[in-house]
Amino acid sequence: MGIRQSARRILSRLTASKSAGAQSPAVPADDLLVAGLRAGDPEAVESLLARYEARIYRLALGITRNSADAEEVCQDVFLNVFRNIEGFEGKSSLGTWIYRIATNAALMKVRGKSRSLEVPWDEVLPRFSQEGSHLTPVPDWSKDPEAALLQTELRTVLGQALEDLPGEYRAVVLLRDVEGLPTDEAANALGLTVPALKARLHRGRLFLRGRLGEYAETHGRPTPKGTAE
Amino acid sequence: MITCREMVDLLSDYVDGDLEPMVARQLAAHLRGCTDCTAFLRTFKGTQALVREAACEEMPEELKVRLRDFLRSNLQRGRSRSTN
Ligand SMILES: [Zn+2]
Repeated sequence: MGIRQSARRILSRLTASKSAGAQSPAVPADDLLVAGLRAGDPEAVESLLARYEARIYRLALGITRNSADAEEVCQDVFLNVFRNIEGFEGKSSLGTWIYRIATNAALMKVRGKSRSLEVPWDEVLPRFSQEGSHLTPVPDWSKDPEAALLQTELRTVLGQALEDLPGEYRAVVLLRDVEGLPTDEAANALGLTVPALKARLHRGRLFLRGRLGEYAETHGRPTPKGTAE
Repeated sequence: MITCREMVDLLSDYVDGDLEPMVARQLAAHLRGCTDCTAFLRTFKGTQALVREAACEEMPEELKVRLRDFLRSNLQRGRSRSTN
């Protein structure tokens, strides 16, 4: 069946689904879903959207940090998926394929308005003595029970830190730590080797922890050392 | 003997369960004797938890409707260009 014909069936389903009401679609396996999409099966279309739209929106919003951009990314991604499903070769899972399209689309948005600032890694990465010990004591601000306010503030700080992280790093952190993609799938989605992905992930995580720590150490009331638990 | 620097370098692999069991055991041993690295690990994991929490924004319903509208009209345009 030609792409045009699939698209037509998808189209008719999208029109029909409005009146069909909110039936919760079954959850078919990837290959069934792909076959369904290729055949223009109406339920496969709604299934795909139901399964991925919220995740893709979350990822796009996380990378672009802007809801209008995230919406455009979602539109581009699913239009792409429906138009190109014939070309999906199944070398990666359907999810990874969609995540790759989405990551690329979202990163394009970010690159368009890149602030081209050098990241001051040295200021946020941990520092060590010559012997390799921590240069300064490390306070534990992770769960001071009285620091609910601090946790709220940390969310704001985290938002800014995520914004300051280059898009390529942000995408890695989001794919791994929010979407929960395994390392190899995240690497595949970003077109990176596994070691390159791991290096970027580690740096991104350290950056975010560093920025939160910076704030917590100056604004929080860290648990005095030696008395924790 | 693992240093704090090596500990931090291996931290992502450690929390992701990607280390050789031998190395993971060495790290665990270092953690037992090092409050700084223990605090570092906790705040590292705490950061991951905050990131997860910060990113779990729901997709607004009206956006889902608009997405379907968009797809319908764009797939339609593709069709009318070629057949109508
Ligand atoms: Zn240590």
